[in-house]
Amino acid sequence: MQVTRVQLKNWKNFQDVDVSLNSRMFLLGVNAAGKSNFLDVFRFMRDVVEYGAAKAVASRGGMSRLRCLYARQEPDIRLMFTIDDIWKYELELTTDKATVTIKREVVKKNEETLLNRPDELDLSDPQRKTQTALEQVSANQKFREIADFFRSIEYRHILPQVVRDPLGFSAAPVENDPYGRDIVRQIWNTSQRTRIVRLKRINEALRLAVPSLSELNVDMDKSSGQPHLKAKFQHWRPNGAIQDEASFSDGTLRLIGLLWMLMDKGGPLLLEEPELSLNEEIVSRLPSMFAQVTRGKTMRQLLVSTHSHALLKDVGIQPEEVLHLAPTQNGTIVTPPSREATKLMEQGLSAADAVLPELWSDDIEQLFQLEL
Amino acid sequence: MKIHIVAEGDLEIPVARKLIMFCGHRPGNRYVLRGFGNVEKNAASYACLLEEGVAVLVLTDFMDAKSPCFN
Repeated sequence: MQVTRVQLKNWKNFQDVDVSLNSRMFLLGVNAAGKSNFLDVFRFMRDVVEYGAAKAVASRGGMSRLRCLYARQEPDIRLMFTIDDIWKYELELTTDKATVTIKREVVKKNEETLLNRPDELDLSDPQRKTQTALEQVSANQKFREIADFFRSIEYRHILPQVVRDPLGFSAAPVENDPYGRDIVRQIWNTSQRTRIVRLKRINEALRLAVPSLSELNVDMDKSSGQPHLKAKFQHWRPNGAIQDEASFSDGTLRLIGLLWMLMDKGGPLLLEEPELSLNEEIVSRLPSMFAQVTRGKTMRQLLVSTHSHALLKDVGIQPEEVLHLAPTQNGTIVTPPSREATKLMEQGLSAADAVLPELWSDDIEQLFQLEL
Repeated sequence: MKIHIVAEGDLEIPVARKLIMFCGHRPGNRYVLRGFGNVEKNAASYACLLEEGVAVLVLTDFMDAKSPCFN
């Protein structure tokens, strides 16, 4: 399943967004344009299903943090998702005496309305309006498919520092941490057969990308109960040396994490700047790897925010796979590439050559004239 | 009139911008193609922008091409 269209009203940077999504999307924009906030709406839906609307809002600092700063007359937040062009889910949130309230919740399948709130029960018991039907097993039976779909959304932004020292960042165990605190444990917990197959593929990639490392594996340290990545580091000694993740470079850890995630099955995968710490040569190969993921066995939808020229240099990226986030006086607008950029891409130019130049204002050159 | 700039490198951009503004026009997007080879290969692709009513100034150094005008 994939989100094929998303419409947002008053969500963070965005007053009004209505865009179509393909199975592989690249989000481009200057710093603070709202790329992360655009991705966050998908994480938010996951949290609504997993923890409930109230907690999803609270974990983001409350409605005032979610509401668009540019919103004037319409303070409510409205999110609409079209899934596989079959399902439509609409959620409108408001605050009533400082409590997050469901103002409207609609689910349609093939234009047939399966849920239309507020309904009579909501009117008789206003307390019901603090929960979405999506988060309640007793209420989502007719559309559990989309509840499961939202739950399957994953956001990943691997931070090598937390992979190396997960306990240093939080002593309590974490699950499915987007920043990679539990990625080594996830690898360890994967069934042995799958783990061997995946590590074999990662080893093949490492052989090309990080030639000094080989024989990557995962091993349990019985004294601490912590699993560790182990690999052989080739140097002047004939047998090299065994290193664990604490000694791996940032780029190596990010690459291992990225490859592992791409082989994971699941729903839409949200990747934030996957190019970080990676060599340009590897980055330039990422779009084709992403394409494989969207077409292969896993068939995952990928939403990727990026600033990378090397990544966007891939001429296989089509105009309909790019979204341009442009900040304006009235909030950020999200659009496909301009007609000019689309024409250039149709002429065979890459998104890097056609779209990236549109992102920057004339003032950017003054950045280099600043006295530091 | 808005005029986009196609140039070999970042250094040519301020020159092109000054030229465009001197002629009373407005500089548009900057397409930095990194090297004469890329300009030679891709400059023609930017001609399609004319259909959108946008002019393009291609600024490059023909010395690299050993062009007849230099000889």
